[in-house]
Amino acid sequence: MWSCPLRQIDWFDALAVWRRNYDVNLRLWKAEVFPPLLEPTVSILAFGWGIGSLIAAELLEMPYLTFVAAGILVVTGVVRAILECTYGAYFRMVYQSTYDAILSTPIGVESLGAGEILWGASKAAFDSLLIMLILLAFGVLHSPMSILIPLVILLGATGLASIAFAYTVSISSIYQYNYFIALAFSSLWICGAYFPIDRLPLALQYLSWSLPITSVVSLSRGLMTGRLDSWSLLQAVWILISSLVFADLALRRLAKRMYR
Amino acid sequence: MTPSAEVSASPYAIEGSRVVKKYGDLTAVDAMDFTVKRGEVFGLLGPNGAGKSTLMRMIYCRTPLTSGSLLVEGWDVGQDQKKIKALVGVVPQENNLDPDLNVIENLIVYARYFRIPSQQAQTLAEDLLAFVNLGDKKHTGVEALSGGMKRRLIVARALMNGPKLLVLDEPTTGLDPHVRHDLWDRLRELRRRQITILLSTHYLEEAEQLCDRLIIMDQGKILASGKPKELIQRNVSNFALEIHEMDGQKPVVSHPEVTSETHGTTHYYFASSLELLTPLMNQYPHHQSLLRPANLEDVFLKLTGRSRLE
Repeated sequence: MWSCPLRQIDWFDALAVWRRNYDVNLRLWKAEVFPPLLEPTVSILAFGWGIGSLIAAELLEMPYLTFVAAGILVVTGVVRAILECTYGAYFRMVYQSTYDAILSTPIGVESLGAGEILWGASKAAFDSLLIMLILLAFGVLHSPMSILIPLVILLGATGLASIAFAYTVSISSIYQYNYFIALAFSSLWICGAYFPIDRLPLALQYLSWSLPITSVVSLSRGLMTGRLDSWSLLQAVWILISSLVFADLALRRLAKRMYR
Repeated sequence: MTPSAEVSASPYAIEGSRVVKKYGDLTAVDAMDFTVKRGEVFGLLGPNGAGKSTLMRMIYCRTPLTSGSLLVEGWDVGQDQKKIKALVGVVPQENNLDPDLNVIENLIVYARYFRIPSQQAQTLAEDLLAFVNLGDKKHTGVEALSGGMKRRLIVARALMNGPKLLVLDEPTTGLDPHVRHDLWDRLRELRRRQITILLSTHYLEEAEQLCDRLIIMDQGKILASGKPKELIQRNVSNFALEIHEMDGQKPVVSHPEVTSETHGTTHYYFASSLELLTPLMNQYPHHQSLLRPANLEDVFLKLTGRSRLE
C-alpha cells in the first residue's frame, strides 16, 4: 500500500527537533547571525551600484540594484538551507550520532526529517529577513508586499533543503558532496538571480524554469517591486508542489537509512 | 489502542516469539524465543556479531523485524513504536551525547523529545545528575568529560523519561574497573526500584554479578538460557582446572565425572569436586595451572566455541 511519509509527521515532535538546532544556534548566535550576512549585503550593493551603473534601468524595467537584490536575497537563503541540510545534517547524523539518540525517543523518523528540513528552511527565511532590513534602509524594497518575501523563501528553501537532505541521507562519505555542491551552485548562476533568463539560449531557459529556485527568485522580485500577475500564481504553485515532492522523497530516503 | 487484558496481566516486560532479522543473506537473529520478566535484570551474552545489538534495536523499535512477534510491555514493536519508546530508556553501545550542548542541556533537550514540561525536566535533570555523581558538572561541555562520566551521563539521559525498561548495550565496555563497579552500583539501585533491565555485555563477571537470568547467544541463536549459577552447573560443573601452554597435546580424561575442553593452548577440566581435579594438576608440574570455581566464562567459551566449530 502506498503511504505518504508527510502524513506520518507529528508536528509537535518536528518542532522539538527544530528547537534542538535553534538552541544550539542561540548559543552561537554571534558567529551564526552576523558574519553570514556581511557578504550578501556587500555583494548586493556592489553589484547594484557597480554593474548597475553600466545597465540602463529601462532594459529591466527596474533599477539593477533592485533586480539583483531579489536574486542575491534568494540565493543567500537557499545556500544557507543547503549548507544546513548537507554538511550540518551529515555531521549530526554521522559524526555526532544525534539522529540515533533522537530516534531512541518517541520521535519518529518522519518527524526527525521534517524538523531538520524546516530548520534549514527557516534559517534561510530568517537570514533573508535580516538582509531585507538592511535593504529597506537603502530604499531597495519598493512594495509593502516585500514583507511576504521571507515566506516565499521559506517555502522555496524547504524544497531545496529537502533535495539536499535527501542527498545527505543517501551518501556514505562526505566527499560525495562534491557532486551535489557542483550541481547546486551551478544552478544558482542560471536561476535569474543576476540577469534576466530571456538572455539565455532557449534550451537553458527551459532548464532554468524547471528549477524551482528560478520561480522563487522571480516571485520574490515580483513582491519586491509589486509587479505580480497570473504567471506569479503559477510560480507559487510550482514552488509548493516541488517542495512537497522533494520533502516526501527526503523523508523516504531518511526512513530507508535510519530504520532498517 | 491498549494492550489486551491478557497481555497487560502478563508478568513479562518483553516477549519474543520466533523473532527473525535478516539483512540480505545474513540472518542476524534467527527465530529466537525468549521472555524477560518485569523487574529482573536480564543479560544477553555472546561474541561480537552474535546478534545482541540487533535484538536490542528491535526491542527499542529502531530496527524492524523480518518476521516473528515481539511485545514490549504488551505493545507490539511493529505497531506501537511511539508507546514503547516512551517506556524505554536506551544506553547505546556508542556514545551519542550531543556535543553541541552542555551536560544539563543534554538532558533537558532530550526530555523535550518525551514532551516532559521544561520545569519538570529541569528538576528531573538535576536529580539524575546527582544520582550519577555529575551534579558539579552541570555546565561542562560534553567533550570535556572523561569516558566514565560520559557513560554515566548517558545512563542519566536514559532515565529522564522514567522508563519501565532500561536497555543497555555493552554499557561498561572500555571503562576502568572503578567506573565499572560504580555503574554496577547504579544498576543495582535501579533494580531495587523495580525497573526491568536488559543488558548486553562481553564481561562475564558483569553478567554473573548483575543478571537474574541471561541468555548466551551466537549467530543469532540462543545457545543456553537460565540463571547464571544454573547455567554453570548445567553446562560445566562446580570447579575448573586450567592448564596452560599445552600446545599440540590432547586433554587426558582420567575419571568419568571429569569433562574437558580445549581453547587455544589451554586445557580446561571440569568436575563437581576439587579432589577429582587435583590429581590432574599434579600430572603437569611444569605447566602453569589454576584450580578455581567454575564461572560463566567457562560456559560461554564452551558453548560459543562449540557453536563456532559447528
